[in-house]
Parts: sequence; C-alpha cells; structure tokens
Amino acid sequence: MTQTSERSAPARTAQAHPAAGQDGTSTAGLAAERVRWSVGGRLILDDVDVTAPPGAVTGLLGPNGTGKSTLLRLVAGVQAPNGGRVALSTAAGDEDLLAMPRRRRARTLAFVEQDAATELPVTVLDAVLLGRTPHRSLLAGPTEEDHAIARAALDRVGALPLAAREVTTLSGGERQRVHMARALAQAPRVLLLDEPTNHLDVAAQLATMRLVRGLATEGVTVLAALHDLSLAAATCDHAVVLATGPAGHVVAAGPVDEVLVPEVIDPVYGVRTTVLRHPRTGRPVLTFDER
Amino acid sequence: MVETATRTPAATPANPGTLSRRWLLVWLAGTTAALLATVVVTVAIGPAGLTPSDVAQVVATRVGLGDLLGLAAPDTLADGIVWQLRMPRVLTAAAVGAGLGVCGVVMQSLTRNPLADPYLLGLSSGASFGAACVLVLGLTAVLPVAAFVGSTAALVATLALASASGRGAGGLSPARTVLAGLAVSQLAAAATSFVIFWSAKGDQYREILSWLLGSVAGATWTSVAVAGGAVLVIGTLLASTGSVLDAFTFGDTSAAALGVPVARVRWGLLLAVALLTGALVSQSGAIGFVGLILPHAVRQLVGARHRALLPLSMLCGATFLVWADTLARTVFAPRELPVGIVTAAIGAPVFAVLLWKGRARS
Ligand SMILES: Nc1ncnc2c1ncn2[C@@H]1O[C@H](COP(=O)(O)OP(=O)(O)OP(=O)(O)O)[C@@H](O)[C@H]1O
Ligand SMILES: [Mg+2]
Repeated sequence: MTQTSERSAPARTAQAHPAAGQDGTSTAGLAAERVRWSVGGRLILDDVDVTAPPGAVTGLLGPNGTGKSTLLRLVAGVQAPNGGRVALSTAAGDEDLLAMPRRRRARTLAFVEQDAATELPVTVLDAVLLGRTPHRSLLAGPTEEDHAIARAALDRVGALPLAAREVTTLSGGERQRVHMARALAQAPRVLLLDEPTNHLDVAAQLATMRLVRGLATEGVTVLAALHDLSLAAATCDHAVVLATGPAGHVVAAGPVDEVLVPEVIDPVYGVRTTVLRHPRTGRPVLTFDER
Repeated sequence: MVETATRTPAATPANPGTLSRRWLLVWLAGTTAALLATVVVTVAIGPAGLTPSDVAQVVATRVGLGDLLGLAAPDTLADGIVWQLRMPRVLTAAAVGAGLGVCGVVMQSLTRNPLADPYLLGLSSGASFGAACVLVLGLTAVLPVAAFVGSTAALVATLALASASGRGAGGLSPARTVLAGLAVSQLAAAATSFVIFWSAKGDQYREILSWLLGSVAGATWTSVAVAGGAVLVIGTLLASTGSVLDAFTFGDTSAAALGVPVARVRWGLLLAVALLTGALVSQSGAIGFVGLILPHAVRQLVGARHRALLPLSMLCGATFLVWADTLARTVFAPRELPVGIVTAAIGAPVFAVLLWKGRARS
C-alpha cells in the first residue's frame, strides 16, 4: 500500500479554507486500526484498517451492506466500536480521535450522512448554521461571523439562492448540497462523506467531486463512501475496497489506479469489469457486464 | 460553483443575523406585554363587575406600591376576589400554560416528532395516576412527589417501549414513540380508573375527576408557588437549550457529529420535562393539547429555531391557558367547566388540521 501519489501533494492555497489555522494545526491524516463492530451477535466489521492520507481524497468502496456507512459512523465517533482505534495523525503526532472531547472532535471532523432528513420547517441557512455549533458556546446564538461562513459555504456548493427556502421543500439533490454546505461550515480538517453524489445529476456530481478535490488541495483530508467506481477513479487518490463474507473486511487498499482493477473488483461485486481509458483525462473508466 | 469561500456572495440581503435577533426581541416584548395585559384583564372578568383599574389598584397595594403611587386603599371585597381567588387562579393557569408550552417544544424536538407533547407521550396520564393514588389514600401532602414519580415512570416506560421495538439509525423513531406513548397512556388511564373504581369514596370522585380533566379552579397561592417556581427554575433552564435542540434537527447522528453529547442531553432534558410535568400536573391535573398546538402555532409564526421557539412558546402558552380558563369559568357561568375540556375543544380540531396538513405534505 503506497501512501503517496502525485495528486495528493497538499498544495495549500493561502486563506483558502476556513479550517486553515483552526486549532493552530495543518493537515491531518486519518487511520482506523483493527476496528470491529457487531450488532445483535452479528459481526458487521471485522478488524478493518483504513488509512486516509492527509490532504488526499480516499474512496471507500464496496457492495451494499458491506459496512461503509457503519465504518464512517465509527470513525466519526457517533457510534462506539467494539474494538480498535481511530487515530488522527498530524505533524505534532498521533491523537486518539475517539478519546478526543466531542466538541473539539466536531471542530476537527465533519460527517455528511447518507440520508439526513428533517420534518421541521428549518430554512437552508439555519440548517447550514448548525455546522457552526461546535465553534461556539452551546448557550450562545450564531454570530455575524457564523452567518458569513454559512453563506460562503452555501455559495461554494452553489446553493446560495436556496438560503431562505425550507429544507423540507428541497429536491434530493438540493438537500445533498445543503448537507455538504453544513459540513463545510464546520470548517473541518477531516471530511467524511457518505455517498455525497447520491441524488445528484451528472453535472452536479462532477461539481461535487470538483469541490471535494478543491478541499483536498486546501489540505482537508476526505474519506468518501462512493458507489460510482468510474467517478471514484476520476476523483480519488486512494481507494479502500470492503467486502463481506461474512463480516465486512478490507480486500484492497492503495492508490486508486492499483485498486480499481478487474482482479479486485470482479470477485467483490460478482461482475466482469473492463477498464478503459478516458480519451481526454487518461483516467480509468470502468464498465461492467454480468459474469 | 465558485472556487473560493472568500468571494463575496453575489446577493447579500440585509444580514439575517441582526434582523432575526431584533425580530426576536420585538416578539418577546410583544408576547410579554400581551401576557401582562391578559392577566390584568382576565382577573377583572367575572360576576363581581371589577375593572382592570380595580385589579391594578389591588395588585399595586398588595405589592407595596400603593403609598408610593398615592392610591386609595381598595375595598375588601375587591381585594378578596382579586388577591385571594382570581389572581392565584390566573397565575397558576399562566404558569401551567408556560410549562406545557416549553415541555411540548422540548419533547417534539428530542423525539423528532411534531406530535409529541407531555400528554401524548403518557407523562400526564402517569402523573394523574400518581396523583389519583395519593388522593385515594388521603395523602394530599405528597401529591407533587407522586405526580412526578408517575410522570417519570410513564416517560421511562414510553421510551423503553419505543426503543425496544426498534431503533432506526437516526435514534428514536417518531412513529414508535407516539404509539408507545399511547399504549402507556392507556395503561395509566386504566390503572387510574381501577384505583377510582376500587377505593374512591364520596368527594374523592369529584376531586380525582377534576384531575383527569385538568382544572385550575382550586388554585391557591401555594399552587402559584409550586407551578410558578417549577416553571421559573426548570422552564427557564429548558428555554435556554435552544442551540442544543437545534443540533437535533437532522437526528441523533447529526447532533453527535456536531459535538452534542446526545444520550446525556436527551435523558437530562427528558428528566427535566418529567419533573416539570409532574409539578404542573400536581397543581392543575392533566391539561391536554397546550403542549401540542402552541409550539405548532408559534413555529408557523417565527420558524423552527429553538432560541425563538422556546421562550415564545412559554409566553404564548401562558396567555393561551389563561384565556382558556377564563372561558371555562365564564361561558356557562355560574357553572364552571374544567379547563381541560376547553383546551381539548380548541385543540382537537387544530390537531386534526395539523394531521391533515402533515398528510398533504408527505
Ligand atoms: N443498527 C443496526 N442493526 C442491525 N444491523 C445493522 C445496523 N447497522 C448496520 N447494520 C447492518 O450492517 C451491514 C452494513 O451496513 P451499512 O449501512 O454500513 O452498509 P453500507 O456499506 O453503507 O451499505 P450501502 O452501500 O447500501 O449504503 C448491513 O448488513 C446492515 O444491515
Ligand atoms: Mg451506506
């Protein structure tokens, strides 16, 4: 498993991301080590090791039900693992992410769930302002600065015109962008995304992945569960493939070009993969047929 | 999509931060004034033919401002009616309404269920059961404690039932929570009926029945102290949790990801709600629909942000219940209705409309 790639060079632009300088630190890598989780006597994740190198985009791949969402929840610290640890590695050394105080963890790491919904009549701007919660006292309201950051985040995902709309009235794709904006408003150093291109049309998918790449360039470490393998091949620096049998475990990890190959994909998904080259970008394009 | 977060957004309307804060202050001032006016006006309403200025005179004299303002001493009849009868009743109604309003908001937010309220989740029935037990035994002194124990037991039973029957990724499922609450409610009601059927005699029937329907007719200054004290301490505490409750907008997972200690917050706040409900029910019985429809109405007016919703639901709940109680004692005067019948008569149709609108949306 190689940790470096020509695309992961953390070329950070000045003042680019609000996270820059947050807690006085720079990029941070993420490492989940021997993480296991079981529910109702059933082992869902079996000693899973996942590394997300700093300032790079790592794709978390695998068929339905292999535990991608579960792993992201464990890494995010919103669900406790039955074993293993999750470490944040910075220039200053390693830090146990799960032992970190909640609010500091929420300033370090943001998590966009697979399907977060509400029935309450909250406006888009208020929903994005929630991302500022860990940055202020729980008894205080949002400040002017919080509003500015929330609007900038909305602008960045192209959803500023929706600011005054109610979240319940949005389309699936619009809502997905709002969740992304909420995570951006959190100004994290690590961003966990669970199927961020869900509900999005092709143009919006590309825009989202461009945003994700932009964040990585600014030094944000991204771990994203994805289903579209060609999109993953075009966007990610690294990939981790999970498979079940019976419990979720890692079958391959490393630079995306080395992982997204028929030898890995075919047995995991039970398909026959053909890897083509994109005539313009030279990135792998994967097509599938049944075996 | 724009590449940098620092670029100025194309359209920058007046900053909603300052705007909403100013509007919140306007709303708070308006609803507080409405509540104060309500108290003065409703205390005057009734067969004795008092005017609001009579009320103001009595109150000013009683709180020791009579000399300062150079007021004449009020006549003893007016003093008796205002200070001994109506004022405690109106203030108790205000405290209970405020408490139910804030409890409703907190429960709706924590269970992510727009239909949750202390009544619907079995808390009020549990508290009534506790109250009925001690009334039958003649232990009126421990009534608040029994009501609290009853409401807490009901809360625990409801949440245990709801989480045992399945837990979605987002935490307690709203539909299950309400169903569990209904089950607990029915059980507590049946237990209360059994207690009455088995052991109540003579006047106890009336006393317990007024508990079940909800009434502030017998309110004294002690009721004001218990209900008002509980609202001032617990209600104010709950009303200050706006940002925390906001974080639950997209469910437990998202709240946890925002750094909120979900389990601790949920149990702490629900316990506070049970405590407050117990205190309120011990003074007024189980009054339904206030905690349900008031937060909805206020949400329609000011949106779902809890920093506005919590205090405004308190103030509007107080005003609403005072007027409901005034109706209860005047519509069929000299006969009185328990105020719970009035809130149900207003609340049930509103509830039906809410259900209808919810159905149309989903
Ligand atoms: N709370 C739970 N109770 C029971 N089973 C669970 C629970 N959470 C997850 N699972 C099971 O764990 C497995 C992994 O679920 P998970 O949601 O992590 O899969 P996933 O890889 O994200 O799938 P998808 O691609 O469909 O989103 C599934 O079989 C699921 O049924
Ligand atoms: Mg998933």
